Amino acid sequence: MKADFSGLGIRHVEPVGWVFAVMNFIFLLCAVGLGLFLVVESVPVLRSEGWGFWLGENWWVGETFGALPMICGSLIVTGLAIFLVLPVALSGALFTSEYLSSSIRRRVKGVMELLAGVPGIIYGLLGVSFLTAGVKDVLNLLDGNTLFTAGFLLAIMILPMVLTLSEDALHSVPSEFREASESLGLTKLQTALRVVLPQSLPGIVGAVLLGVGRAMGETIAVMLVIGSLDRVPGFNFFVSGQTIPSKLGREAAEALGSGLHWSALMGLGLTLFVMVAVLTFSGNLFIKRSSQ
Amino acid sequence: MNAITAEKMVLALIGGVTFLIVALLFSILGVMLAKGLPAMHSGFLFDASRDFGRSGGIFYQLTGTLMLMAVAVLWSLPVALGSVLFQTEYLGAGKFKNLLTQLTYILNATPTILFGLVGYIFFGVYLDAGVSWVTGSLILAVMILPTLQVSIREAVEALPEKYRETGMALGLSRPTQIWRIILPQSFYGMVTGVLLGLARAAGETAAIMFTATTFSGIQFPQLFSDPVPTLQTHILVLAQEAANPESIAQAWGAGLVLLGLVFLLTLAAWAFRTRMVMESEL
Amino acid sequence: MIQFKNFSASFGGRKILQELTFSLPANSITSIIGASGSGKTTLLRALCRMNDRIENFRVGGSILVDGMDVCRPDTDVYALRRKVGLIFQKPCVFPKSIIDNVVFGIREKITKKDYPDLAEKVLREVFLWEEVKDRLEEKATTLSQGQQQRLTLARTLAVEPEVLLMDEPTSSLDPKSTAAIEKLVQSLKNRHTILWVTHQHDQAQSIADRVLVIEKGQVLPLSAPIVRLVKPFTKAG
Repeated sequence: MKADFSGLGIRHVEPVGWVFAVMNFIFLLCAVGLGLFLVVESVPVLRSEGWGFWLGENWWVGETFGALPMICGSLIVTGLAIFLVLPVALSGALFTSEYLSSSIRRRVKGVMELLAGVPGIIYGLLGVSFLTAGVKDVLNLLDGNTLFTAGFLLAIMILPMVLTLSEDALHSVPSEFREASESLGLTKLQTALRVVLPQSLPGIVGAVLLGVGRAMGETIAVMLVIGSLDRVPGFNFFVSGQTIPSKLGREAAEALGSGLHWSALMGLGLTLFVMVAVLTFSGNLFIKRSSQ
Repeated sequence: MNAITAEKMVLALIGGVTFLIVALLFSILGVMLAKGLPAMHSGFLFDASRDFGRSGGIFYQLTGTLMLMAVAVLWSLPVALGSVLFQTEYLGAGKFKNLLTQLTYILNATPTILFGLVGYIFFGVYLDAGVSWVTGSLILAVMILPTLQVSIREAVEALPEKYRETGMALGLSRPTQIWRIILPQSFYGMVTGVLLGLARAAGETAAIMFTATTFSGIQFPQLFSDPVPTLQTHILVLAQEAANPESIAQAWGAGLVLLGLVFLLTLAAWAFRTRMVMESEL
Repeated sequence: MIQFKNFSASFGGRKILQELTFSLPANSITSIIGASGSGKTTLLRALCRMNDRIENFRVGGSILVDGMDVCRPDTDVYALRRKVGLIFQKPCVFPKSIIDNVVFGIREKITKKDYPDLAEKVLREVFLWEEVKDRLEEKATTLSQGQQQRLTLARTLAVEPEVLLMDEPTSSLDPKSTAAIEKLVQSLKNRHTILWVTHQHDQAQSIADRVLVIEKGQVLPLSAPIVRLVKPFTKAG
């Protein structure tokens, strides 16, 4: 061998291969660089605020930076979205996978997959025009820009994706299991709930987690309907609030590139990154465990 | 009898929910059409916007969006293709390969606004590209990298092992195998990836709104350091003027065009994916 | 021509071939018979280093082709594979035209105007010329299995290997095609060293100059105690 990369499992590489290796290195840099920059750029604000960055309730530019309102806002909005989307998406997935004929199923799936790609800005526009006013009138509020509005909008936004991916998981359960169960006298619904659903649970968890990730990271749609008010909300979800991405979206342009304010925004970014990573990681752990 | 009644009720419930979901999603499309079509006067696509977006067309916003996403794919495709070929053809299974696969998934799950934050610091500040279309296209390139990688990897891995083996047994060198067997067979996968990447870049607002785009002042960028107007930013700014009916009407029009663009790209990607499946079944 | 010296192969700690020492004379047909899973295919694949991509595959000892050890890590595997052609159990043609398939292995080495002459030469060698001469631009996948297998043989011959390894090349073919290939191999042995792996005892006897038996990772010359092996195996694994 001309070059020994055996530690990395790389086989003998020709000149063309080096070009590919460089491309791979660029990819590696992008991925690692993303995390690295978030950490490095957050250092100033973490130095000046310490743990108070995550525990502080006040975000006053020039004085103090506390991220708690945004962290709470993100958790509440994402939680609301999942709470709203889960029963609906699962019902839809179960019905589509187990009861619809294959031609109709394909059409439903096609529509869902197409809609899963609708940009966040479109949902933002819909939210601004209809949802905020609707929430305000129906619930008789002073202002329709609330945490609930954002959660509701996110639920609609991630519904197609969660539904179609859960449906994939349900549908991939081999039909022998259904036949075996029905031959024992179980009804179709019992089969679906007791045989098909448990078997596809890892896939469904994966689908839901992707949805959670997308909801937690969505900037534009949330930013337009949440009211952008930095305060730690209690258990009243019908008030204005702020999520990490919506805060970033509101303030990135004015803080651009320098100063403690920018560092604070990078700190928020790092926090968001860690939240999504923890979620994804624990989900993967669950999937691994349950598939053993 | 009781169990059967209960079963029927549950069935009716989930069937009804499914129907409502489909109806809801179709009504979203319906609203987009109903609100967007009235804005589509004859010159909407080909006129410049006037009066801070309240009248005129969206020509430069549309060209800006197209330009950003096209340039992003130009950056991203060589990196995606090269890295996938390196991982599938040169790298043996092991921890390093797993790590790279995991990184692709992490990058894919990363909230898009973070690409904007970090991308601005790296491309805008360290590489001195500033708030410009170059910075924006680079940020989008990193953002769509996993999309391209996943599609290309799927295509390469779908290649039947027997073709590889036959190429090996004939004594073809590895670059020749890649050029003559792997690239032709995964061509449709590459096209699918590019189209999905374009669609993803077209729909992105957060990562570029403060790093690359402008609402007014510039029509088509003349310099590398110029920002660019895009449909996404246009809609975002107009949507926040909710009190002004003219602005909102223009926002719907631009929204419909953007949605049409994304749908068109996605449908084209599916068409190519179907071709890929047919080819590989030969 | 080909010598195995204390050659062993293992996969993930499981011994597949053990301490093989034997040699194959040049320009002759040697047949190896053995049951499914006896290591026949591994033997062939090791000879042209086809198992490099497989993790946990280890070899020991040496295989000499023309005095050159193929197992050494610095061997030029691509040159080796051009010298040692491998025919698979199932024919694998590329979804391209017949003529593109024929020249697939040497397109870089010759010019386009030489394609027809070369194609005619190798297709005649495998007795396929008369059947396909008017449809060289048609997709190779339209040919029958037997024709496809002869096409893969022509494709390998175009690379001009000195050694031909045949891994049960007729097991997926009908009797007529099988007979054609058996006859074809006889005509090739003047210029090629051929190693033919099969599980059919009678086929081995009828085509080969010498028959070896592989059993439990060992190679033995065909002699008395082996007769018990010659059960009528039906299908190859």
